[in-house]
Amino acid sequence: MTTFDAQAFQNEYLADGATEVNAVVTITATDEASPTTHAATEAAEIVIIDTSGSMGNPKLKLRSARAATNAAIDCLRDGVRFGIIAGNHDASVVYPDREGLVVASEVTRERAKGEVHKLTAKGGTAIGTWLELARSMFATAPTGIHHAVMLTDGRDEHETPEQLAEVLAKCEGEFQCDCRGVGTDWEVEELRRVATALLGSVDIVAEPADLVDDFRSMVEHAMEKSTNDVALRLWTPRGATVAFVKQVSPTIEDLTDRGTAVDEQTVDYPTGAWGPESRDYHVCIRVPAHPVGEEMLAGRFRLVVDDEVATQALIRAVWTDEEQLSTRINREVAHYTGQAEIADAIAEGLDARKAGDEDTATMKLGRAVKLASESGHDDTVRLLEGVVDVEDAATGTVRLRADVDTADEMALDTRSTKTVRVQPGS
Amino acid sequence: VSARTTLVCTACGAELLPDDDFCEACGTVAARGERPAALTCATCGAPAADFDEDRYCTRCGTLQVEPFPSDEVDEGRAAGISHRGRVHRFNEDALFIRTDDHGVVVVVCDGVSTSVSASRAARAAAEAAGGHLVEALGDGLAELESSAAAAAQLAGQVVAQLPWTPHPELAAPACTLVAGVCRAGEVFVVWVGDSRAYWVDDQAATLLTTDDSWPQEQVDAGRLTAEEAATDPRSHAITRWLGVDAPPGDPRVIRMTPTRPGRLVLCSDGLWNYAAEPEAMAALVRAHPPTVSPLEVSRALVRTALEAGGHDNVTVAVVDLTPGEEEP
Repeated sequence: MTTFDAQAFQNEYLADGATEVNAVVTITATDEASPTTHAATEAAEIVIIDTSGSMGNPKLKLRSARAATNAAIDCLRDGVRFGIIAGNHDASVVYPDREGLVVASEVTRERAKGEVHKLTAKGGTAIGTWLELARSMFATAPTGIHHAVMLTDGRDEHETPEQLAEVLAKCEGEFQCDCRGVGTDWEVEELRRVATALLGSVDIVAEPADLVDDFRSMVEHAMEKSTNDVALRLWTPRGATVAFVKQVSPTIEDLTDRGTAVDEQTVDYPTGAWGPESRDYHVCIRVPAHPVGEEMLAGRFRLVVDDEVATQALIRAVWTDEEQLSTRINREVAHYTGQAEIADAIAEGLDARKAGDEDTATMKLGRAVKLASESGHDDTVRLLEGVVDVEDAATGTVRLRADVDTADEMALDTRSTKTVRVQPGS
Repeated sequence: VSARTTLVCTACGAELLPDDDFCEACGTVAARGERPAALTCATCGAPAADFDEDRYCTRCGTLQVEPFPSDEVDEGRAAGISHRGRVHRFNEDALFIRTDDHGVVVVVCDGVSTSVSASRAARAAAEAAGGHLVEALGDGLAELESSAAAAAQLAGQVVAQLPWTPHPELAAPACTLVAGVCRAGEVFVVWVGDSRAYWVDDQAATLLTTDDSWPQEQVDAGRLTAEEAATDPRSHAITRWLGVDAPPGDPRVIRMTPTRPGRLVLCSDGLWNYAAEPEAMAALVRAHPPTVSPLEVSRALVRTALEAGGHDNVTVAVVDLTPGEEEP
């Protein structure tokens, strides 16, 4: 059984007339787990592997993808239902050789690997078709945690964005999907759309040889999940508006538009499946101002599992005319506001760069360098250095590099939403 | 004050404004919330039924400052008042008073302000201990002493089991407790923390309890004088309380046999801060002749605290005792 614990961090004091309430809520899930509870968790896993013609060029790509799929299969614990899909301009089931999914065992894992070995590369790319096949396979195991890993090396060239969007809408809530792009001929924005809709991660694996480790870690992580369909339920008072709800750690995921109304004042946001882990959420709520001295509940942040409240935190607002209270900066809120600003600057900088607007790109990426180095985000600075030459990090003075490695740029794009936590006591 | 209700002075019937601590007409302490039925949210008009367990309006979110009755309990020979005071936004004290053919039970609890859900802790503890002692009143005198201790222990368990939402700056729900049970001319007092019991008759003025507090420990150990301890920043730190993180140990119980008519006074520090010495408390009590009811004495004591600043919640219970009055 997973137990959840919520803690809110905020400065609840607002100046007279102020209406914006910010809070960071940390959710910690603890698994009183033994391997037996994990084994008891019903789960289904599908690996979707791109077998389009480009995967054969160089041959290492397909070979690595096959090895990675085998590694993923080896990570499946006994009892998990699984299947393997090969995708090009169409989608086909590699394993099992019958309808639906098959229960993992020593025998089925070996058979699956035998089929994976036969994969060859030809044809185009139609990601929506692959996902639709995965959806129909997951539907044969209606309960439990559904997770997929999808690998592609190219654009969704055999479908319109509308077709993909239609499939994604059908798949939302049916399974989660971590997406990986191998090489540099795929579209970050496209995979991000898939990952966002399906509550998964997106990343670049520039070197095919690195696929094995990446797949193993994704599936191991999926196997740790024990609580499915956890909803973030946010109650707000009448007259209030939710400015945003974002997961801010371990990655920034904007959930604001992902909500489903429970009643007039309550919205559920999907958070997917949880294992033993900790996530942070930044909630910003606009409320009607109250007179100085009054307090209101700006939000009640609950985590809901099977319609039961697993934990909750209160987001409060207290109006005061004491400036020393209302001007206090909450460390957690400031920290994640800063991280979001870095991510935004990077996204805007890369967009401008693609559009050929070098001035804006230089300014935005320079700002990202300045913010990231100020706040000790060394990994982010390193990623930025793949795209810009840093002259002076303190002032954010940078020059766009002429010889940018596409993989570096894509890594910056996919990883700019990864955040670091507030250092205790810093 | 966010909660709006039609308030009427209990003494003269004049209408009170929500912020009145006293009736402008007759000066009686405004015992607010005696008519909880009319409570509505001042911001959006939602009925009190729409207030959640944390006292927020479930419609507009406004915190309800006074939605719960500030208790004025009158049981004749025993009475008491729990008042928010002039500074705090909530009343985190609680009061329990019950009399029956066997005797009297009074309980005062003071929610620890640095804990979460302090008012809920105080109310739960007062109800639990009070209920237990009322049951015990029917038992023999011999059992009453252990019942007194058991009542405090039960209250401690109840507080420890309260559900609560962790808070970055506040501890688990916690409160103090002082309870008096009077039967057949005997008085048993049990306490945990710094809520106090005094005995006042026409000759004696006695502090029956010894605070479980930092300053008391300093004085007991001879490290500081009472005056020095009282001016230390830790002068309000308690060393014992009820709650999940309470230090171990049994609650202390004392037995007293009054030899002449007098009044037992239980109170939170919101009162005794302004009259700590037994003689000072006795002077306040003796200002009223024996014919004045315990309720009137309670009102006067609360008023004294409010006039002195009302810096904390003020809760007081007064019991009139006459030796030989109760049947064994």
